Amino acid sequence: MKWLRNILKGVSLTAALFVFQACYGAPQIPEEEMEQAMVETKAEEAPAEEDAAAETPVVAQAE
Amino acid sequence: MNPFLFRLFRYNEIRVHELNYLFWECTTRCNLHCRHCGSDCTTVSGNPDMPLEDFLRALETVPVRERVPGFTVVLTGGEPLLRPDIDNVVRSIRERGVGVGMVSNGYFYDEKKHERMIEAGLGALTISLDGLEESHDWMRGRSGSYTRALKGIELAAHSRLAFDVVTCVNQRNFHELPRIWEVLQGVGVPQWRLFTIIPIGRAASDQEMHLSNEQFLGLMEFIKERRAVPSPMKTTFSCEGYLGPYEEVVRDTPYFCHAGVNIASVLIDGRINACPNIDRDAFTEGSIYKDSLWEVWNSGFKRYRNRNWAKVGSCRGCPVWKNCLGNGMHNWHGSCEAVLNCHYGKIRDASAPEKP
Repeated sequence: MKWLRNILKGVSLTAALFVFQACYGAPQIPEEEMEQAMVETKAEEAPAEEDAAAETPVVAQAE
Repeated sequence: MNPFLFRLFRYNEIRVHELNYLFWECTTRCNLHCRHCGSDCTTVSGNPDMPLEDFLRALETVPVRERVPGFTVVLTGGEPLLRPDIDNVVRSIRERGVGVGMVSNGYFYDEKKHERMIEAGLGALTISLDGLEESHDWMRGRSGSYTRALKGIELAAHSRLAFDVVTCVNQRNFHELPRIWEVLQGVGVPQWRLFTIIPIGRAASDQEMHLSNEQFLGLMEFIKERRAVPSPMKTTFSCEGYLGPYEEVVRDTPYFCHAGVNIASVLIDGRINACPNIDRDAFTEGSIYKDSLWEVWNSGFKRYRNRNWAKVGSCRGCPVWKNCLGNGMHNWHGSCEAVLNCHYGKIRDASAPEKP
């Protein structure tokens, strides 16, 4: 039940429960830093989407 | 935390089973010859390093919308820094919006490598330190490995990395623990994580690797004491097993084996498993060369998410079963007739704690 999970995750008293570390793994990366990475990736992807949109009319013309 | 509420939380986590931690055993080559190696790594591995493209193809089966903010790939081995393309590995994964962590022996983690890893986007690092100089070098099978690991630790401790040091506690380093604590605190390590060995790989027949029940109880007491001392360095026990009266005393949160619930791994030969130290033959769920990693995650891993099969041997009728669920998955090997290591039993059966 994802809704219950999201509520618990948002409560500071229980948020720590979601931070785990595999027995022989590296620590989890703080979420703020991860979100930053997502933003960077999306920004890098954006021009590609624009290119794709720009190509569409050409395809339509050919039809 | 209230045990009943925690079990409810765990039940929900198992049902949702969000993948947010993916190991990649990117090489099984290693420059050291550790006595406790669970992978039986060698300098020249029987398996070639997995090409980055193969791993990325598997990673891309996880839909972007399903990649939660904390989703992390943890590079393990072998020694990941032996890969000549390690910078590109880190960068390529990071470019896909996924975090990258690494587990290293620290031997090659010098200033230059550190700068390159940070630049490529490494977010988390764990370096092993298995004792003071003599014990560490003995355990790692190479002199000079302590000095080099400690240099790497110093570099990482003063960076933006989510960083910790792990120590495999054994007969040789047990009495060194207070001094190791001083060394690590002295160089500014934020977290020190201790664990014990499971009898697999090279460690299976090496008695010096294993603690007696009294030593194990002494280890619990040692961690408890250190956690009570105000210190910028947190000392903690790894999440390797259920600890009965020491739950939430030597760790922040109650025991919960996340293998197959939140953790998967891609092994060197492409097999899909949960953690790399879990029996590869008994618990492999598929292969990235035949299956979609994402489909396997969603439709497989049933034995990880329902552990009733583990009610055998000493676990059958155990009074703490509902909290423990048969201990960590890496404690089940071969025909799984009994759990290999029962942490709760060690504590229960110890006559008195031996002081480190």
